[in-house]
This record gives sequence, C-alpha cells and structure tokens, in this order.
Amino acid sequence: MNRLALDIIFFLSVFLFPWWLVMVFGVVLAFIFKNYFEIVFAGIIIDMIFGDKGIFLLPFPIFYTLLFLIIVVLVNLVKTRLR
Amino acid sequence: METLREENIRLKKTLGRKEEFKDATIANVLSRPNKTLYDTFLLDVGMSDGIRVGDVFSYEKLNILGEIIRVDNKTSLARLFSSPDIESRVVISDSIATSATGIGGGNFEIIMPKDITVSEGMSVHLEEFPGTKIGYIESIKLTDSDSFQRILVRNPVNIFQVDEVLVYHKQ
Repeated sequence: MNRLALDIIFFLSVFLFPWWLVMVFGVVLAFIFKNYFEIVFAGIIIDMIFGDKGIFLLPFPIFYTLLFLIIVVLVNLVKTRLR
Repeated sequence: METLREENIRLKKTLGRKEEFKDATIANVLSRPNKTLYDTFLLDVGMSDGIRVGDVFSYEKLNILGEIIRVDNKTSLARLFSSPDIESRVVISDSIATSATGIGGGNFEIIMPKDITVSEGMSVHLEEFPGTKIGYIESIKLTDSDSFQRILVRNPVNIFQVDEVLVYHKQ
C-alpha cells in the first residue's frame, strides 16, 4: 500500500476509532514512512473539530497538534539512532 | 415490525410527552468523549435544524448533560457541564444552592462548608433547570481538621455510551 492510500485510511480513522488507536496507528505510520508529518495535520483536524477551548489567539486548542508533532519528532529521532 | 415497535417505544421514552418538548430536537451523537480526549460531543444537527450556541442537551428528557458551544450548518459541538474546570450553578436536593466544578467523565465536585448537611444519594440539578438533574451525590469527603467538605456528584448516565440526545432550543 502506498503512502497516499494509508494517509486516507489514517485520516478516516480519526473519525472512526478512539484516540489511542489513532495514536498507535500514527506512531506505526511514522516508523514506516520518512517525515510522516501527515499526522500533525490529523492533529489539527481533531483539534479543530472536537476541541472546545481556544488557546492564545486560536479559536481551537492545539493539544493533538502538539502531541502528534512530538510523536513525529521523537520517531524520527529514534529512527536515526537505530540506523 | 418488532424493530419499529422498539424504535417507537424508545423515541417516546426519549421525548416524553410530545407537547412538552416541541422546542427540542433529537440528535444522533457522531462522536463522544472516549473517541477523543476532549470532553465534547459532536452532534448531527446544526444551524439548519435550528440549533444555536447556548442550547442545552440532555439524555432522555431529564438528564441535562451540557450545552452547544459551536454550530455549523449540519453539525454542532457540545460540551459537557462536567468537562474539567467548567463551573455551573447547581441546587442540591431542591434546597441548597451552590456551584459545582466539572472534573470530567460525567462527574462534578462541590466544595462547601461542612456544617451544611448533605447525604449520599441526594439529587443535584442546574439552577436554571429545576425538575431536571445532572447527577446524584456519590460520596462526601470531610476530615475533622478541614472546615470544608468535598462532594463528588456523579451523573447516572454513562456518557461513553450515549448515542442519542435531545437538544433544547434556547427561548
């Protein structure tokens, strides 16, 4: 399966599965693909749709955005150490 | 036929007497708190159904759960009154007015002087909506050295299993 197809499945999973399953799926995809920043966009979508309180000047929170950004950075770091 | 009968009974149970709830809309829950870490419900009704920010929603006519905080054309986002740090004016057992703070998962915390007598099982409702309830007192924690008591209020509705709610239109 190519990256685009998995992107679509991942974005659909945001609406279909519980948050922890989406997170595990995101971590797995981040390990498979290089610089998998798509999950950060998924985080933005979750924050925009489901988030209640805004933060700073934003009308929505950025909890998932930051969480997924940290996941991508950490997974990239681990991958470089494993090589 | 049996399925239709069950659906009919369920809808009547949800709506209560029809004339009392002409200003309410039945909404399906598209997403509930266990799907994300946010204590919000995504509902399948929106501006086109007459939903407005500030409308309250309940599970089966008496269990008020929260209010609408964002409305799109076909969907709306609802926040639970029990969301962390949300403060609501409540009345315990139709007599003691105080404020309750949400602590998540359908639970509230009330801190009040310990010389006010309350007991487990007492019902709690929002000041604005007498005759409804947001939960019952589940436990009371107090120590001899403390002058306040910490009251835990629990909503009898399992918010993680709610799939249909009533949205009441603001007058």
